[in-house]
Amino acid sequence: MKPALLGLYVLVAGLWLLELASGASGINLAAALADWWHNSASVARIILFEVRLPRALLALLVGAALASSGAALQGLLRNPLASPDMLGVSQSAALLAVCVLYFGYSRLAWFVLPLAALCGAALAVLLLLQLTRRLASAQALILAGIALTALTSALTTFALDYAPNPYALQEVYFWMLGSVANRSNAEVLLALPFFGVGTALLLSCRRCLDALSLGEDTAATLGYPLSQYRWRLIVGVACNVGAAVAVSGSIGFVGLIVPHVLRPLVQSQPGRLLWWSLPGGSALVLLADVLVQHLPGTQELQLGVLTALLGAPFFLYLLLKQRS
Amino acid sequence: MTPLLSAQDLSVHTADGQVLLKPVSLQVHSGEVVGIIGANGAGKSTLLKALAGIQPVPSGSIQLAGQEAPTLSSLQRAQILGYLEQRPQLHWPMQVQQVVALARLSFGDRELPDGIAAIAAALAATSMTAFSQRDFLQLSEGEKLLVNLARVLAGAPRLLLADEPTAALDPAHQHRVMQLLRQRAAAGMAVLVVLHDLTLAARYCDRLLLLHKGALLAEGTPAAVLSSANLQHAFHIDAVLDTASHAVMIRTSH
Repeated sequence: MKPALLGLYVLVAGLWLLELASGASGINLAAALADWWHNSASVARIILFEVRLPRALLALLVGAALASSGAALQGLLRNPLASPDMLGVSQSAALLAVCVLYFGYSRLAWFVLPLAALCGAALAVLLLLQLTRRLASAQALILAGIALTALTSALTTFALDYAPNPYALQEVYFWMLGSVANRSNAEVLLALPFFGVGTALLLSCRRCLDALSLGEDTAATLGYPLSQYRWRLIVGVACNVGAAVAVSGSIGFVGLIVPHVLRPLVQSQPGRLLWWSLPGGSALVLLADVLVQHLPGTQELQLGVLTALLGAPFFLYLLLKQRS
Repeated sequence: MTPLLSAQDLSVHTADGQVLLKPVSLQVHSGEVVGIIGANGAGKSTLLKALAGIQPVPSGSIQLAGQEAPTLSSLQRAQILGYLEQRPQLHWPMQVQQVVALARLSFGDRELPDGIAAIAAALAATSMTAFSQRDFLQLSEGEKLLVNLARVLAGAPRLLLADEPTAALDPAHQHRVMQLLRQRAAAGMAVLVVLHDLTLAARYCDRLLLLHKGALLAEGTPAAVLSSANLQHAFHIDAVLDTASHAVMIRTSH
């Protein structure tokens, strides 16, 4: 393993421990672990295992899922500005998740919520692939993504407004900006199989993404026709984004920032970038979540606010760089 | 001897029924350099893409190394056939060496000794070793084409399909590339190359296929195909092939 990649994993481990140590209530982690070891009930143990652990695990998983999806989308669409939230994939997932959650369908089976979000993400990627064939420039595709984002965000608000649950509209911030706070272990278990399948599917397309660097035609002559990998990539992105959105809302810019920061370290090789984006995404979301817990204020900021504060200027920088 | 590439009654048309290629049959043997010539829009690139498996072929059949092409997996096909596109494109800033290494994807040995040796040999053959650490996107069009040729050669294909490999090159590099293709043919590779320069076609090709409006107008030795009558019919030029210098000399045009 390359030292830089090893360093990235060490950073993730450090941030994960820092995330476990962060929280409104000051608890002694060692004492909480000792209570768990001796199987004795205590407040510290409950806080660590029922509040902080699911939050830290979700930050780890959601970050990896969103960043790897961003890297895969950029490779698939050969567009460095592509990411699940910039193109409306996350918001489409949120729309279907909101529909099944607030209209009672999620009670039908445990997998209905993530499956609905997955379908929303898959539909958006399919639509984007069709648009890629018709829109010549990278910027035009981003504009189409912005339109899709605006439409699905408006429909999500509309659905929340008309939901039978009178408190649904209050959760619009969660779905629009995303957060891993106040999640439970049940949500980790809900999303885990989808993250596993999605990440495995994306990693199986590493060589195809490398070949696609030379365009679809040449990739086909190198033994990697997109027709054989397209569905794997779509389902992989949909699983990861769908599961992430189902449990944490639409956390923005992770899928854009992480591949860009890491691309020079992997000499722009999309397959290798996919590997590196997994710990890279975890590190960014863990860092952002630690920061929101330490920022002064009466109420904790939504995680997505911080990633947007970092990501939006970064996106403008990328646009200007592309123009030049 | 079994041809390395064989195609029978290959035809291509668009979804709305426009005919791009009328039934064409051809064979290319190991050790041969076969040129495809014709005016713009004659169907040269369409034929090459159909043979490379990029362009869907509604009718006709293709055999690669004695096997029906559809029965080969994508990776098997990639190990037999190398395709050099007309306009090289790369979507990310990658080093030349990494671009060339993509040819070894189907072998899975980009970072293993065999793959590394093949990449180094291909860079040396195209005189691009000094460029190996350079950013591909910063190169001139001619240099990009040479890197792409190196990329195709690094895959050690038995059959090379090249779409206008000399189009962006100066005369010295045009001859360098054609000499390289001849050397590879002498080593056993089969080469099918689309050319616009009739003099290069006459000088370096063993046989020529002359396409006209999507159909095969003539096939044979350069002397037979580049007859004044064929040149008049296909290119609307009054020209003659000087067999001593392999130069096609245009007398008048209209």
